[in-house]
Amino acid sequence: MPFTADSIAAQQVQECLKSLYRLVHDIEKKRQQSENGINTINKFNSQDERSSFMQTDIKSVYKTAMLQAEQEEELLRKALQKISDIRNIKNERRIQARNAGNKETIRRGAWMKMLLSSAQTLPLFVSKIGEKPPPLCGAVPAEPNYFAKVGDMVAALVKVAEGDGDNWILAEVVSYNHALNKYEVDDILEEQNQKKRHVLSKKYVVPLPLMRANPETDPTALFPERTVVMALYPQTTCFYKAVVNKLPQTHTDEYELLFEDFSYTNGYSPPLYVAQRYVLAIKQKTRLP
Amino acid sequence: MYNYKKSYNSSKNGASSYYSNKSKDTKLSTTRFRPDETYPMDNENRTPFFPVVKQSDNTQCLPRYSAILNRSLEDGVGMEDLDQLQQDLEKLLSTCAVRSRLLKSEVESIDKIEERRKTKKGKPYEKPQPLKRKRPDEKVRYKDVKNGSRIIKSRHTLPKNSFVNDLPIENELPKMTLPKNDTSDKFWLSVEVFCADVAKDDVVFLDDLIRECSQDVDIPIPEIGQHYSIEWSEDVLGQERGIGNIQRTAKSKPTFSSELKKNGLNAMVDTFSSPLTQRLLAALIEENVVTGNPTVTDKLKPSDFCLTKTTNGPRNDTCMDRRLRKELVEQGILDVEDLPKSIPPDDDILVEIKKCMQELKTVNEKNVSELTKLRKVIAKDLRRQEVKEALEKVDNEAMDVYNKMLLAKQKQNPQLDPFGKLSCKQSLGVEYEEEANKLIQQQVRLHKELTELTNATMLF
Repeated sequence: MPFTADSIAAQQVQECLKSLYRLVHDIEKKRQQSENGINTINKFNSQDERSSFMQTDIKSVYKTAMLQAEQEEELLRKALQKISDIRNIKNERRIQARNAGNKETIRRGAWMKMLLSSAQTLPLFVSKIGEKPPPLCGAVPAEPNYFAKVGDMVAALVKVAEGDGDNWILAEVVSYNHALNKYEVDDILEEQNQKKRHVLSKKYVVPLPLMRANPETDPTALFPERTVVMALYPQTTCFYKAVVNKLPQTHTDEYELLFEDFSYTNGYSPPLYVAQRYVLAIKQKTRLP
Repeated sequence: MYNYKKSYNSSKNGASSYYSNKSKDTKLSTTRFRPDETYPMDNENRTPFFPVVKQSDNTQCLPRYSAILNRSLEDGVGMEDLDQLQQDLEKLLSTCAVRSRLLKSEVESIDKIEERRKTKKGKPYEKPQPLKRKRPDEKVRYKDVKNGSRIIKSRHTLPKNSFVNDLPIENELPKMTLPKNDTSDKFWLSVEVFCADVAKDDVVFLDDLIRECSQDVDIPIPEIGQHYSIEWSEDVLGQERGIGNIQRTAKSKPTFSSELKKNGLNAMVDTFSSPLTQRLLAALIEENVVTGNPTVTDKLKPSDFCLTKTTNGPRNDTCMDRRLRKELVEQGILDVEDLPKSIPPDDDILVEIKKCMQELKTVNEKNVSELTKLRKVIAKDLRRQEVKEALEKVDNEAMDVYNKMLLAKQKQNPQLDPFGKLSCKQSLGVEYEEEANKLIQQQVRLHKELTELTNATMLF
């Protein structure tokens, strides 16, 4: 077997998958311990009199359970890291293949599916105790000097060809010019790129979140209700103005949004669901140069 | 065609049908809170509920995870498993994270109860203080988790984007009335004394100190008075007589004389440190008076020797010495003139006094030198303060001039934004420019001086 970049990558992926298998088994063992710990606590608490002299005992039981939870958490984080490692390897291969000139031909329907699944599989940020959500996690914006990496998905404000004003489209970063502060981006829809690539100033490009925020542990990294946001309209590849109606409640949930839509009598669409990845802070209305 | 929205309008129904599945999803994800029903907590609301995905629920809650668990190593994990497995693991992680937070807050509240119990005796009841490293509203949130209906934040009545302009607004937390924490104030107040600027009063105080310390420490040593042992000797004599009367000697005498014989008389002589007594005793022994004339020994021994032997202090020696001297003078063996005028020159106390005085002098000298050094530094520091004040003044003036220049420029071309470049400098008026230059030069000079002075004072 020749040592091509592909074969090396494939090998790495295989390694990751193997260690993932082992990790799953380790996790199961830890979960056994954790569950026992919680059972002990519940037994303790269901006893009628929780007299004061038992406080110290309860405390030690709690502390044990805490330790078990921490250990379990650590293993889970490791396993999830492996999964994201695999995804990163795959993505790198994809970018390299594209650079080599291998055009991917993906139909629009397939793209939609991919967008959906990539939003669902975006790494989940679960903060450790006292940890703050990092930039580009959920609603937390990027740092001012941040620039999106090659292959990252962004929202880009581009001029629409047929005089329909300008639109925020979903795009992928092809390159970033540090000297000019300009991005070169590809429309996510293949057929639109046949004309030319878009070269845009940094302020017309908004990077999509790199992580999902966990509503159960990091609700501060979500847009609050009634926030006006910019979100990908379901089944399209364009971002439109919307109001947050309901927040996601669990890590798999999506935002419930009301899109601004004047074809409806009240000016808003019925509630639609959009994944965290495609809900962005609204940019101040800016003119195209 | 860029009008995706329109072109996909037809599929909107499809979209909504997809999203209508959502309700099922949420149901599935809420199954993790099933244990709540399994462990009914009827101990009022006190008992917290710790979320855990039970292993018996594996197949139901974590389908892919449990499928992988049941696989052999050869089958392992495939690429097609990743998406679902990730979701399962995330569910576990989230549950786990919530659990450890709850446990932590529970442990902390136990700690607090314990602490309160400890301090209860002194104070009747203190307002619970917010837990360290924990946002006060966090617990409330988790309580909501327990109740099932999770209110994540207070509703904003106005549409408000807290992340507008890429800057998260921090006022999202509901306002709480926190007990006033003035610990930091107290701390700074206590430190203030050491950090405050040196004032004129301090200089005066220092000067006083230096003057006081520069004076000579000549404390006159008083003439030596009557030795205490003279007074004491009378007492001791009385005491001795008393002892003798009780006839304690009857018993102690034979043992004592036998002891004397055993140890040898020379040893006995050595027990008397006072030279005169030693001499007398030695003389008596030499002439065999002690052995030959029991009356002498009897007269001297019983009480005196006993005392000497037991206490063996210099006090007794001196007493003995004095008595001997007194008797010798009385019997005409010695003249009053022959006696040494006062206490012998090797007076320990006098030596000690002199030593102390010497020490005091040395310390005093050192103090004075340190104080003068300090005084110099303070003089420099006062100067530094002056320079600092002057610099501040110049700074303010510079700001004024800057503002004036800005205003002037805005008047000239009002459409230019206020933070634009100073492009039309020449039209701004020479007087401003001159003033600004002067001020800047002054600033530089003062700053230089300040830095030098600061370095000088900090080196102390």
